[in-house]
Amino acid sequence: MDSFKRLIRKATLSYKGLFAVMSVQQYLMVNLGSPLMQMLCFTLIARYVYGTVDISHWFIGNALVLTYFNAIFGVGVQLTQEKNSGTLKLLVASPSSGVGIFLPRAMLHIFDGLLTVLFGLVIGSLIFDFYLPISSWPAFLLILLVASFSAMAFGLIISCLGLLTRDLNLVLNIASMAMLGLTGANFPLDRMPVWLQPIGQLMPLTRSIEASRSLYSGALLSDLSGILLGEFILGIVLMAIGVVMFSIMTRVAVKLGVLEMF
Amino acid sequence: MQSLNVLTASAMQQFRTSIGRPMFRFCVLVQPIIFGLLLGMMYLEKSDMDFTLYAVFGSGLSTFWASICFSSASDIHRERWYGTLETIYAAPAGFKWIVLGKIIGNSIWGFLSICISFSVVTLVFQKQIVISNYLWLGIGLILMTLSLIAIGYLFAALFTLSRNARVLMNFMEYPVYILCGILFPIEQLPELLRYLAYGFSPTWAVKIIRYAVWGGTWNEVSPYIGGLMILTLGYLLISVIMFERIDAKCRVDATLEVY
Repeated sequence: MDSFKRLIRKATLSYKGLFAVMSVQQYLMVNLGSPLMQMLCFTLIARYVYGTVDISHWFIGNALVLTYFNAIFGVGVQLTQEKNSGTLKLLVASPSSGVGIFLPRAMLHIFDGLLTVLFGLVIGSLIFDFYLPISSWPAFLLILLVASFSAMAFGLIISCLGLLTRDLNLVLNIASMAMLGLTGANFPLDRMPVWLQPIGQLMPLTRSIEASRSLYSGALLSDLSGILLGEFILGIVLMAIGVVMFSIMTRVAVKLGVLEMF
Repeated sequence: MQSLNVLTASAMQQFRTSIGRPMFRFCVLVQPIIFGLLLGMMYLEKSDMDFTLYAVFGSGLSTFWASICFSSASDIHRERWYGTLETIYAAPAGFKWIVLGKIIGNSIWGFLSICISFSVVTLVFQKQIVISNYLWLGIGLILMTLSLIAIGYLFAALFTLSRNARVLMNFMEYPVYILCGILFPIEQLPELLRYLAYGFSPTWAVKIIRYAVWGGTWNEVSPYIGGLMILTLGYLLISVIMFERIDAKCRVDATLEVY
């Protein structure tokens, strides 16, 4: 029980550390305003380009892809922020394991990302007449949860990369564009060059977007279990890669004495 | 003459140093490529004209706008962060001219981003690029560049005393893409928003470029040229007034470097 409480406390502190400096207005603009504007923009482009009356297919993709805002600009900057605050060495020297360091940092963002998507769906239902039957919502929420988890796991890898470079913004923005372009949110994946398609399949959210579109088209959750399991396993693998990367990088950095070098 | 020297020196200095920032490098070098590819994929099966207007020029204009958001609008904030705002503010060369020079320096890079996206999208997709009237294109691009400089100048003035500059510059990017028809026709928007769109000069610039692609007579294009010029002058006038007011406010409140 103590460890669970500690996990919650660490998750809360890490989340607060990122946003506490902002006013409520700034927090809403960053966390909801920018993601929703992006969703609206790409859905409107899709409506013009694909010319379909029911735009929900593309709207769902763009709504789900919103989780990347938390994954990349929330989780992805965590370790760099520790470095900037001078607390990275304390973190590395602490007896916590890699999972113990990473999990709390991603936890609240998973739910925050989910909330952003839900808010986006509400906006979408008002503007684009998006409608999902109530009976499909439990399955849809499960897909969202898995999507958010795998996106946050990807964010942890980005966070590790942040320790290697001074150009974190460059990494963050390229990663966010990759999420927009390679997950099938905005155009069919088979339009991409053949050599790029496997990368699209390895991206987080690709499967979740496919699953949510199938659910919208009438598929049952049982039909989608394979895709969802694939997304969940991808999330676990990405998180494991993040933990291993963190462990190797910190060990090398400690050995070379460059842990906090910019 | 001295002001012109300050303007040139400030623009040259900004042109050399701004590209050193990773975010600016992303905006002007990487984003035109990625955005161009993304929009190219989306517009792949539309007509050559739509492809030219939105995938080729749209991606370039959007990255130009992003460079305004992430540089010109935030340069004052950056100077404040570096602790150099007071120095350039009090410099005898004139704060207004230094800031304008910075924005011109950034805008040269912004214009280059249009060239990058044009080249990348043309080379990768091998689609026919349709330009029916090169004169309208030239006029549209030149006026648009001048107008974006004016907007950058206005934002610089507005953000001189704002603590929210960093947040606002992140928020401003997509609303302009949506409102101004940079990435899709504004006819997709509700009628009320379309009227609002004409308060923003990029809307007029996109219309001129649209005529460059689709073709149009002087009678058709001239209202947009006139509208864009009036708006640009309006932005400049407001900027100058803002800088005068800020000058007085800074001296009274002494909050120039307060976060």
